[in-house]
This record gives sequence, structure tokens and C-alpha cells, in this order.
Amino acid sequence: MIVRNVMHRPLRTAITVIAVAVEVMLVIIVVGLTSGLLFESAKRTEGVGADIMVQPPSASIFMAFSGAPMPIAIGDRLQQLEFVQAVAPVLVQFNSVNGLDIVYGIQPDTFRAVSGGFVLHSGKELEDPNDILVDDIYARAKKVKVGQILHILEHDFHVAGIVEHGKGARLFVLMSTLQDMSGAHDKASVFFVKCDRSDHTAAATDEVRGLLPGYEIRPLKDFISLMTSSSLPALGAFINVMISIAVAIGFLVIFLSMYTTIIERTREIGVLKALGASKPYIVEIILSETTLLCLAGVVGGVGLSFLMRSICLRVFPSLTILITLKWILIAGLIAVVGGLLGASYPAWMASRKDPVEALAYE
Amino acid sequence: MLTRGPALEPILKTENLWKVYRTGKMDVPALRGINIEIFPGEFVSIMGPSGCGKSTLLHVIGGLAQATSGRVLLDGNDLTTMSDAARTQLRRHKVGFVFQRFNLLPTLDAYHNITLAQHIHGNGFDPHRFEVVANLLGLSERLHHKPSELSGGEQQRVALARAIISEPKIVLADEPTGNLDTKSSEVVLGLLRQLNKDLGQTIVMITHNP
Repeated sequence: MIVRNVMHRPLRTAITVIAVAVEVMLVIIVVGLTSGLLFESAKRTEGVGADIMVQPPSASIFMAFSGAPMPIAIGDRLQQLEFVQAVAPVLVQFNSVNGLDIVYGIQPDTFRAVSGGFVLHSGKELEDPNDILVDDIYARAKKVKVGQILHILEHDFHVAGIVEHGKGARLFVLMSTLQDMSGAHDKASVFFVKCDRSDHTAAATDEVRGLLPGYEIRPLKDFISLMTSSSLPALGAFINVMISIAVAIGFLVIFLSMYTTIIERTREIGVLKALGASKPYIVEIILSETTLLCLAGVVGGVGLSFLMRSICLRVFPSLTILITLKWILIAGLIAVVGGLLGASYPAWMASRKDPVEALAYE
Repeated sequence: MLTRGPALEPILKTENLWKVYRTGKMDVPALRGINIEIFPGEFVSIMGPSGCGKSTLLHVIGGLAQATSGRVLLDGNDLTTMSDAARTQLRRHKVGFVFQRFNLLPTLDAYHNITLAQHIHGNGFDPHRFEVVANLLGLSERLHHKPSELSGGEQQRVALARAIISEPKIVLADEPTGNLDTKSSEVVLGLLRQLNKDLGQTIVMITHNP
């Protein structure tokens, strides 16, 4: 009976299922996009190849928000520690021209010593003060070629080379150039530290903590686990708002759909009551139909999410949308619970209908 | 009253039954001190013009509506003192309804409309009872048709089957031939008589057409 009732009005059913699917997709994609960007950013930071990251006291894990308050001379003191093999100071700048990007100002020699160097796809490494390296994903997304002029940070850079992605940022310039541009002479945002052996990381971390008390010293093997939306409160709030909007859509659509269903089937409810159907029985029917609609919407929403991801990645290749089983289940649960809440009033209304009035309903 | 059975205890009894509707500030009495006794196996027709309170009486004695005063004893249970949930349970187990407009569920075929009553009854599907009822009402060939694919007479036969499938103590039929042509009406009336005669089904039928 449940399936037949749901299929009785195919258009209304289709609209309801689509609305629930959009709700599910919205949750999965918004979370996937934010966590994907964080995950991808963390993977790139890990990809630098360092064991420890040193930032100034109270610095955010999101390097773009940290500025450049550390004297670059700290690098020399770090280099002298027992378990430290190499230190790469990096000046980080946030570019908002033609997109949102993080730019690393690097010293090619020290950065190579820590990261093992870039894998060049084409062109050459940084030499000239106006040179810039872009990674292959950026180059593909923005259709950048070696030799062209790239206008970022209100400055015209010459694209010297295209490198393999995964070394911290997508854009690299000489540190001295970035220092000049930002007035941060002899300053760095972060020091990437490579230990002589990976099993010395803990000892090296202690050494650095002793040298720089109060500084943010983070072993990079834990970095991905730290890059969550909870590390950036505004992001968590944004996700919650988007989820709330999605739930509101699902709630209202289900409410409206089931409300009109109840009005339309008033006489049928009267018949069920005449046959001896109890209030819980009638509520169960309405909620079972809702659950069926929601489950269909969840399945559709998951499919729609993968379709949307595929479209997004085709249009914006530099994006990362992380669709996880955990969030598929959470989005499904949100949709079903929201739908059941939306249907609860119509179900309650149906169960309380007076059978004589319901039987007389035209 | 067409027949009277030999049992001593009435299956249905009303004592000074009143039902008053309040419309605005006006009280409109629909039932005024009704006293009836119906015994098991009887086939009772209640006749009267439109608006005389026949359907109200059926709703009250079937537990669909609450009386204003007086008593309704159905198989020994006083409906006037029972809660809505208790009356619903009593309807489920002891009353079968047949309506003028058939009131079949349009999304279900004849088979599922009939078995729905068994499902609500809670005793599960009884294939033997189903076969007896379907054969008696001549529905065996029409079970997989939806109401929209059935004639009025066929729909009322399905409604009859739904009413008796769970072996209620009493069937309450509210103008069951009111929406049927003469030929179909005769068929349905014949079936009601047959149910009463062959299965001993107690039936109360309301009609304005003697």
C-alpha cells in the first residue's frame, strides 16, 4: 500500500524526491568542497617533505592567515640543532586576484634541500626576481603557459616553469621578491624543518620547542588530522548554515507534500478509521511513505553529488571535492530525520481526523 | 425488519439514544431517544427520508461518532463509556461497514482492498476465508483490478467483501444500493441476503428506498 500510495501521484512524488535529493547533494557537496580544500591543502603542505613546521606563537594552522612575523635568522639557529638536516624559510602570501591562491616565497636552495626539488614539466626553475613557477593543476585550470605574464599580487610575473603539484602551494616566487613586495624584509611566515632521520622527529621537535618556547611547532605527519573545519570556526559555522538551509528545504517540501497528501486522502483516512485503523497505524502509514520518499531522495542525492562533483572538476580542475561514506550517511540521516519531522504534523493531523467528517469529505 | 434470530442476547442494543449537533448557538437533535435491539443473525433495515438521522444512527451504533446521551451496547460493550481508541479497537474486531459510495482505496486493487481489512484486523491473511468470501461475492475474476476498472456493482461487492472478511459481529450498510443502477442494486441486495442466510451474518442496512 505504501508504494502504491507514493506512486499514485508521480509528479508530486518526483518533485519531493528531487527536493530531498537536492538537500542531500547540498550537504555532501558543501562539506565535500570545504573538507576537500582543507585536505588538499594539507596534502600539499605534507608534500613539501618536511618533518616539522615552525610558526610564530598563536599562528593559525592556515598559513595564509599568519603574515610574516618571524625573523629569517631563526632559520640559522634551527639549522644548528642536532637532529636537523635542513631548514626552508617560506614567506606566504594570499592572492585574491583572478582567484584565491596561496603564493610561497621561497629560497630555491633551502626549499630544494627540504623538499627534494621540483619536478619540472616544462620551463626552468626560479632565477629572475620576476619569475614565477606554477604547478600543473593551476596551469591546466588557468591555461597558463611557460613564458607568459601572470598578473598576481598586483605584480606582473613571468612564468618560468610548470612544476608537478604537491609542494605546498600552487604558485612559487623568490622569497626576496615577495619580501620586497610586502615590505617584510628578512621575515618569514613559516620554517619547514627536515630531520636527519624520520625517527628523530620527536627529539627534533623537543629541541625546537626548547629553542623557541611559545612558538607553534607541528610535526607534519599529524597535519592532515589537524586540518578540519573545527580549526577554522567560521568555516564550521558556514557548513552548519548550509546544512541548516538544506534541512529547511527538505523539511518544508516534505511537509507540503505530505500535507497535500493528507488533504487529498481525507476520505481514505476516514475509511481506514472505519475499518478500525488506530492512530498509530495511520501515523505509521504516513511516516512509512515519507521514509520511502526520503530514501529515494537520498539515493538520488548521492548520485547527484557524484554528478555535480564530476561537473565541478571539469569546470574547475583545481578544486577538490571530498565525498566520504561518513558524510553520505550523515546527509542521508539528516534528510530522513528532517523529512520525518516535516511529515510528523501532517501524520498527526491525519490520525486525529474525525471519521464521520472524513467520510463525508468531497 | 426482515428476519429475527432465536438468540436471547441482542448483539446491538440502544437505550434512550440521543445525538445532538450544535450548529452555532443552535442545538439540532438528530437522534431523539432511540431504543432498538438487534439479535445475532438478523437482517434489519432502517428506513426513512433523507435527513431523518439514519446515517447518524449508523455512525453512533458503529462507534464512529459518540452519542450525546443514552447507551449503545455492542456485543455487551457500552460504546458511550469507551474512549476513542477503545471504540476504534471494537470497530476493528466487531463491525464491518459498507458505504453508499463504496469508499475503496483507489491505489489498491480489489484483492488488496479486501486484505487491507485483514491487515488492520491484525490476524493476518486467512486464505480459506478469503476464498470463501471472494467466491460467494463472485469476485474471483476481478481481484486484480483497481476500483477505477470495476463497475459500480463490482466495487460494492468488493466493499462487501472488505466488510465481512474479518468475520465481524455486525455489518452496517449505509444505503449500499444508493449509487447503483436497478440491476446492480438487486445483485447487491441479493448478496446481502445471501450473506445473512448462508453465513448467518448480522446486517443493519439503512435505506430510503423500501
